[in-house]
Amino acid sequence: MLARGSVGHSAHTAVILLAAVLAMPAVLAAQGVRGGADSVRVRVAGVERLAAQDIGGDAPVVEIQVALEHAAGFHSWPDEPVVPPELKGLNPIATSIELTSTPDGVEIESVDWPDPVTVTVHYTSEPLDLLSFTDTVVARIRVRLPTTRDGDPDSVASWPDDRIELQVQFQSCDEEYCYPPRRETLSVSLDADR
Amino acid sequence: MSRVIALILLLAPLPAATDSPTRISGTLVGSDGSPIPVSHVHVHVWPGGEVLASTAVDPDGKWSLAVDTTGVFLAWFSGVGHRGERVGLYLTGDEERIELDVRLGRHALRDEFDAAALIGDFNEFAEDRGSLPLHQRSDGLRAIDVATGADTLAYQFLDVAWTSPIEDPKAQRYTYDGSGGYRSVVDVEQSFTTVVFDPATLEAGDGVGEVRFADPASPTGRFGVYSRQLFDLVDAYFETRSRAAASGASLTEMREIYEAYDPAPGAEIAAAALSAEPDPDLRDIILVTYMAAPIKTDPESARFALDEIPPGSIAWLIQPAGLSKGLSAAGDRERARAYALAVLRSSRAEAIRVGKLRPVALAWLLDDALVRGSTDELEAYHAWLIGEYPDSDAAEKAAALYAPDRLIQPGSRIPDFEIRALDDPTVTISREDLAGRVVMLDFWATWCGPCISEMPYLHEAFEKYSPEGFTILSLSFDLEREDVDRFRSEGDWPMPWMHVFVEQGAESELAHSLDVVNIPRAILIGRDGTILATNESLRGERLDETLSHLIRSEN
Repeated sequence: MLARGSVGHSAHTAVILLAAVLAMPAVLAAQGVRGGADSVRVRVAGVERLAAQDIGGDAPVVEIQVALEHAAGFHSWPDEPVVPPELKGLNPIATSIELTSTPDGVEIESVDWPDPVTVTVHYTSEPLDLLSFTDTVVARIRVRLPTTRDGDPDSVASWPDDRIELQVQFQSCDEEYCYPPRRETLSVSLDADR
Repeated sequence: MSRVIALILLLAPLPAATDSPTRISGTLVGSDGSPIPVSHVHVHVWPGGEVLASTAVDPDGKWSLAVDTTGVFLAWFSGVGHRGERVGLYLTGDEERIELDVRLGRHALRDEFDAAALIGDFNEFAEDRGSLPLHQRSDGLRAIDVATGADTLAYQFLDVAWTSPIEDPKAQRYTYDGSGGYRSVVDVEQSFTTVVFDPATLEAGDGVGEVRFADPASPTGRFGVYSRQLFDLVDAYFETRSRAAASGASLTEMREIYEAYDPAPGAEIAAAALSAEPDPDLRDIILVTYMAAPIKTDPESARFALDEIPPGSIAWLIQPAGLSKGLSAAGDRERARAYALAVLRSSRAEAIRVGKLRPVALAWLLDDALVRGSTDELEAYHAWLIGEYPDSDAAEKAAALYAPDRLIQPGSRIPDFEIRALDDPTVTISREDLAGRVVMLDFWATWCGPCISEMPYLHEAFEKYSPEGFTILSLSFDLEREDVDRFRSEGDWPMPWMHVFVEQGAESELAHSLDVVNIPRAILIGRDGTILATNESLRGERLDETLSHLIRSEN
């Protein structure tokens, strides 16, 4: 205990009351943008044709790169969320991509997500590490096209002159608040090189 | 006394130029008593700001630098392979030479490196965001490929030592990290760099160092010895937490560590320093730095500090967070409020105004007004803060918290609404149905982590205050109403109060009318439909304090 007028004297120790107060509770959160529209920006970062012979297939494959750009301070659940025991009961919304509109014979072969990173949140009574997507994450989606009519799997001329639609779902949070899940639809031309 | 001299005296604890620089010198060695090949001394503005002076340590372990300002500073002593040590410097200009000898200890390493991760320029060295976990390879070492578009990669290993990120002993070179450690730097020759963590290259130690003043009885020596004791206590506390977290302690257990943490040693250290301290400025500085230390402060010591330190003391400006913490830790809102108002009225107003103290006092008063539901004070403090200190952190927080023209805020009347109950959709709930009770509208969802973390506080509040006419209406933004049923029936939180499923969630008319764009959002409504409190004052531990004030006033 600190004591008044203690110059020249030894301060004595007394039983100290415990207090949970560390500092003025932060009044942190901003109202935010309606729907969290600015929290994550989704865009097509690239479309690349992969030669069939290089990937060991008999049909052309296009790799679409979809970027999720998180605004500073925001994170979203990864494709395979891991809920820590401290948040038991939480029903996480995984980040996902699916085809919603396709020409005949076009199908998603694979979706490759980067590894999530650790984001420490402080809305719990103690800091909690969550495996999350944050900053910019790029998913690589391989789309297999129909075998071409002319028999040449790498024939650009024989690719379907069409677009596909991808739907990206995610749900983002910042340090204090969460925004409702969002679905963003991306229209992607398969005609990568033309 | 000239006005210039008077002003210098007034500002004594703050950095101020002087015509007679203080020469600080000594030795810096490693754990074995030998000089460390890469080692430095940096003098920062307290408690860890701008570097005012620095020097590399000579090959024979000697160093010397000059500080041409007076005030309170922090010296960091660092050496590759060692844990940095720090000490407070109180430079008045009266001491021409200060000598101190430093020995650094080797890093105290963790027993396991399962959680080892990398931080670097790719994530701006943030420890809480964007670290890259190291993956175990077939050779038993841990590694990660880091893609970079730059010519160099700077990085540190996280969760390898107990208390701080550390450098890689295999790096090509090092840069100072600003807090007693080093960042490893390597040249990048490909589009990515493989960073390998090899524990065999690290020499472990106990992490214990030593700083000895040649004249511990001098003002600098007295403050230095006190600061070392305080830092040791802070470091021990954080290491305890790190060890608990590494052993798999739950959040509840981590919380218990904090709750059980005995603040007595901190108060004893400050009391011992004060007991023989005749310099009034240094007494205030000791108290302010103790209050601002990131360890628990006991209420009695906080009240003592508020009694001892004049409200206009420039010492608060050394670490304004100490004022905020002291006001809250005092556990006596009347007393703290009087002190904060005295800060605003201080005769040293000009010195305080140009610093960060007045916004801190205003922010505390605004928060206090929120807890008490005093709308007149809210409006006044908000206008003052936003008007005079628009660029301060406190103003930014205040703007998020309160705005006179916002529809949903304390003092406003809750808009009318009519919503269907979750359990029985034939039953509707309207504003009129809630009249006569104190009701908290709680917007949430099972997909929302921060909402789940509120559950203990909501249940405690419901149990404690429902006999006094308090209840909760939870409004779910879930995708399916079954998600709510499952959460309540299968989990730990039954939420035994009223529920509503909000079709279209944040896009619903209800959400728009109540200005809910994200969750959790809480609105406390009084018996007559007046909004008593919103959001931050209703979250976490503050919920109980706010309810205890407002329900009492409603009754």
